[in-house]
Amino acid sequence: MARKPQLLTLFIALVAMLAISACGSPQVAPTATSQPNTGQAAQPTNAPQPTEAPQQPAETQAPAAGQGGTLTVYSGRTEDLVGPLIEQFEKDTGIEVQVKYGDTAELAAALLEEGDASPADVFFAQDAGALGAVRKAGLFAPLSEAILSRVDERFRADDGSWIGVSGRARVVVYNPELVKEEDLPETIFGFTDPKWKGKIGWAPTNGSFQAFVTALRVLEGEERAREWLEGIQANEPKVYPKNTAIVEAVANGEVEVGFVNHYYLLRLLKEKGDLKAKNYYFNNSDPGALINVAGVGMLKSSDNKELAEQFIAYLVSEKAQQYFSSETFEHPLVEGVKADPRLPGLSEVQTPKIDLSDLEDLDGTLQLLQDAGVL
Amino acid sequence: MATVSRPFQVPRPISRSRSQRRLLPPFMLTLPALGVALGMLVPIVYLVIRAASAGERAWLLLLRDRTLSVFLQTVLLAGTTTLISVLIAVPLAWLLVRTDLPLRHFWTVATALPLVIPSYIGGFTVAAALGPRGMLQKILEPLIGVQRLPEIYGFPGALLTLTLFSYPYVLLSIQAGLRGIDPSLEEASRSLGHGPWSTFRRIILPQLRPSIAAGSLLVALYALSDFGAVSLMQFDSFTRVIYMQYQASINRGFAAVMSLALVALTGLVLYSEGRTRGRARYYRSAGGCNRPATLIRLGRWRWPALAFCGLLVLLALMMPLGVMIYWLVQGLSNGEPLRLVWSAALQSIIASGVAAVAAVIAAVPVAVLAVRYSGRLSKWIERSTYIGHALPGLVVALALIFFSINVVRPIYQTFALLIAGYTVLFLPQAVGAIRSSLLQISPRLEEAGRSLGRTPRQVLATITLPMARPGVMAGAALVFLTTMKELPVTLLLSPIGFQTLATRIWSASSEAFWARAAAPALLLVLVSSLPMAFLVLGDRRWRS
Amino acid sequence: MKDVAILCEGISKRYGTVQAVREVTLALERGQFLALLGPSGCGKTTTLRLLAGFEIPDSGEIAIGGQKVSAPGLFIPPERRRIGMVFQDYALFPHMNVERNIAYGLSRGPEQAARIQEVLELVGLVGLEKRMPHELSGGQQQRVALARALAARPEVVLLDEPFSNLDTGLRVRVRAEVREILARAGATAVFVTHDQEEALSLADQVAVMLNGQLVQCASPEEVLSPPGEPPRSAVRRRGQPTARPGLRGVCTL
Ligand SMILES: Nc1ncnc2c1ncn2[C@@H]1O[C@H](COP(=O)(O)OP(=O)(O)O)[C@@H](O)[C@H]1O
Ligand SMILES: [Mg+2]
Repeated sequence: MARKPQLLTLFIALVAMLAISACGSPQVAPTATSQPNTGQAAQPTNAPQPTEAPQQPAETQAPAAGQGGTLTVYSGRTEDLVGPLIEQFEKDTGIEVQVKYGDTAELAAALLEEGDASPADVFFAQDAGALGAVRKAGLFAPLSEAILSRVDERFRADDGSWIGVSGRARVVVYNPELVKEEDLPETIFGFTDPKWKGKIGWAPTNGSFQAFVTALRVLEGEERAREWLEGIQANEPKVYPKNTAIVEAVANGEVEVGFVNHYYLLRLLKEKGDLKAKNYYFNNSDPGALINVAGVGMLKSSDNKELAEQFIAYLVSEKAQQYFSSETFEHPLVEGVKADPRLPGLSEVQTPKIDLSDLEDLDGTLQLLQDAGVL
Repeated sequence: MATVSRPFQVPRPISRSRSQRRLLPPFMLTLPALGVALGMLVPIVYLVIRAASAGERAWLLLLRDRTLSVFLQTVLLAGTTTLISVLIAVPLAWLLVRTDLPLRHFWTVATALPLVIPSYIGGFTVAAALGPRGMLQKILEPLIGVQRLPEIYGFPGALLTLTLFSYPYVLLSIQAGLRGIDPSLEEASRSLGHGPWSTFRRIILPQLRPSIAAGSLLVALYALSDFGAVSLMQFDSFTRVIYMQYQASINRGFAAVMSLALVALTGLVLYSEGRTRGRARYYRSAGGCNRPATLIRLGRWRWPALAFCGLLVLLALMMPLGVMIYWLVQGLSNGEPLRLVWSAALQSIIASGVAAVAAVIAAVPVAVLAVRYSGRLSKWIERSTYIGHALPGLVVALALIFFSINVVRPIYQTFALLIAGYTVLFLPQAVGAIRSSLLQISPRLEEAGRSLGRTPRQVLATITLPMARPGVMAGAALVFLTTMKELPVTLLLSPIGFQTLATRIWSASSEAFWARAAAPALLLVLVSSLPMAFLVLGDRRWRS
Repeated sequence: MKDVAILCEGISKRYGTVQAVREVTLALERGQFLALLGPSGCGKTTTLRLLAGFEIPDSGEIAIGGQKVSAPGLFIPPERRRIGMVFQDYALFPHMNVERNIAYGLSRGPEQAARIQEVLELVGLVGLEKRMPHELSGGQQQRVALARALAARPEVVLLDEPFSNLDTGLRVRVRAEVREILARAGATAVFVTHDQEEALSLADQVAVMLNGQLVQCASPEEVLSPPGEPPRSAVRRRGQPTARPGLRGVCTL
């Protein structure tokens, strides 16, 4: 009666399969990453100007290819944005880079959970707030002066724990068929005027918007920030989930103006060809002229600090800066690298005087947004 | 003649302690089931630890009025979504299983397919198509001059999105239940003078109660835990508030406090579902085997029936597919290259397949225990498997990071941990399907196996599981399909460099590269269609 | 002392507040045919399930074929009791054909096929090996169930209301057939019924149950013409066990 039950055998086989795939995956994974990239590999080689190796700092001189080593990067910027650039880095330096892509805030939360055990060497974040949170937890190691000096003080942490690599300007996107540029106000506070009732689009849940509100609080104080929020709220703005949705809504006339980051319009233009929308920059240190950054920091727990610094130095090299300018339409932060011709130069925009590290107090902003009934 | 005699005895009262000895479940069931239940508690333990260190302010935040309104809104959303899903699914399942609806197989697959559309894509397409000045308005404007459609953001949009992409949970569950009902019950009812409607109401519907409850539970928990739809539609549910805490301030303490509140809400949902289960038995009590039921002729009613199916498929399937195809074509015509990310598709399939197997392996002892050895312990074990499904994926992912970093560091960021994450999230889908299938197997069959000299383990392998096969396969298919579209756990727990279709879609869509997101999204639907067809058409083996 | 196939001493079973079986004691010789007779709900099925090992008695002892299978601290699971059971609803495995249903209780080997043929011949179903259960008539299904139970040559065959699913005409014929088949197989059998005529016409011994207790255990002749009150009325009059104190709860063969 001892007949062997076939199903049990099947079960064991399945469990074994599971175990094998569990062990096998680390080998499987890298091949898979490189594959989807091969299609895009052509882009970055075209995009950056012919290589003029970064001059500064000394240790960033591209080492001989094949020198090797593996670097682990947590990237809150998606592969569609930075994948080609990282691949180019691998090609130029022979350093293998493993990238974990994810949402910036979620990766920051993961880093906080991992603490000292983190496998990450570098955290590449979409905004300064997340970098601030990781810094606050004391997880970043300071960067060398040689790297830090590549970028204007406005765009890096004062303690040198992280550095901005590309600029994301807050702008007003408007539909030129519905409003003339000269009718747009000089300051962001102009939009609290009742004449804008029902004509504004915004995305209060968006991280960039919240960073802007934080800046507003820091620059103008809680009261003024609350006034602004309540003023806009009184104008019954249309709420959108994301910046792109705002740009599209402006282009199709759903609203006349919207508060967004500058590059969404440029990306949509690339995808759709033509849109009835234009960007408007504030100036004169108006809070509306905030330029936030995507930035990068090196983790204290990394055993690979040399490679990590090499990577970070690469991101502020001219080649990489050129890539950001032409591929993601962001503002390059290194002096002398040309931005997209449709963008004003960074030196032309008088940004408000603010330490971007202060943007880490998003907690208070959230509170304010909730109290003002915006969220 | 042998004599065995005993002096007459007055039957003594039998003491309570000696009495009611029960057959104890074998260890080979209890141990794995307990292990699974303990695994499911990992997120709770994590949340308690985080909440404990949250500080006073987090708890004060919990006591704000807003929390109550978020609580009520969440309940309203989950409740309405579930109700409407049931109202759609019951008649639809009946049409698909019991009537001669034209093109029945096509509708069977097409009405179940919306399940494979991720809510973060579905929500976008709903907004793009039905927004105030969306595609529908563009179509209507030249025809009847509509300037803008009513606002969709907020409750209506969230409700519509969640319902459209989660009603298949109830549909699938009810279809399986309908197929399991002995047609002789229906015949008996008809012979006793009840018309089809009365039979449906008095015989079929009560029999379907566990299927409806099981499906509703999945919909309700999905509505509680989903982030895609509520964030796109700007509706403040618990999940959105929790995510916002992470995204705006990386405030793990407050997020943990809110998550615990969500767990409490889940407990409430589980409790009320448990109340509906009752004590009825659903296996056939008499008379041999199931004959296939004869189909009911719809006659003239087939036109409204077809319209119903058509409208549903139009909204839940054609609309998102249409929007995606539109994006793809627009992108291609602007010079975007067509990226068919087959390698990501392959990794999606592998991960989802292994997750399905793992979930089924974990679910079998839990379900068998719950059905065959019902008791307090087995009930708690079964209920505990539902926790993960109600928590936002991000919370589960962080909990597993915390757990593996502190307890089993070698498996951190391995495929094994990823699969564990999927299992925590989707186990109840497998448990539910296997459970309903087991409920329809008479324990007499297992006893027959035992009386014929087989051990419990052999009976499990040769009688119970083969008979529960439709449930096992359905559970596996459900887990497969939901894993295909899973995002937060995949992003955080996968080995470095691991990419699935879902992560490709996310990568492109979060930077608004719609054209680039469309190809993997369409591929996701395509790849998921096969197992879906198998799921809805496959479970009628020894019935024909 | 002849071979004793079944020996139960004072077995009891309670479900919650219902005392389903109370202090039942009975013995059955090998080759005999015992009917458990009583009104619905009196505990017949429970008694049978206790014998089979699907339930654990709260107290008492059971031995099958001279081997103790249930006693305080001892419980032999059903698969090791050498029993064959025919269920009220037959419990044929719907996913296996006739042949595989019968083979289910047999060890694999060269004799398996021969034994299947043997029992199929015994029940008169040769040629239907490949049929699925739902392709059989009620009578045929029942004979498959019987063949399946007999195939592994069990010590005892337990039948729970084996004829209740058959129509009256068929029932009389099948009854005789089953008796015939069991006799030819030399089986010891316990069958449950609530039909007196069935019990009296088929059994060597009739055990009358009432409210979980055994009230009488005798040959059909004795049950028909008892020294005291006729048992027929005892069966009909619920809640009133026959006033035969010497026999109450004890079955002496
Ligand atoms: N699993 C059970 N749970 C509770 N009560 C039961 C169970 N099985 C049987 N009973 C009760 O025990 C008594 C005897 O039942 P049973 O042995 O099935 O009677 P019958 O003589 O009709 O076969 C009945 O009152 C029945 O209600
Ligand atoms: Mg009975």
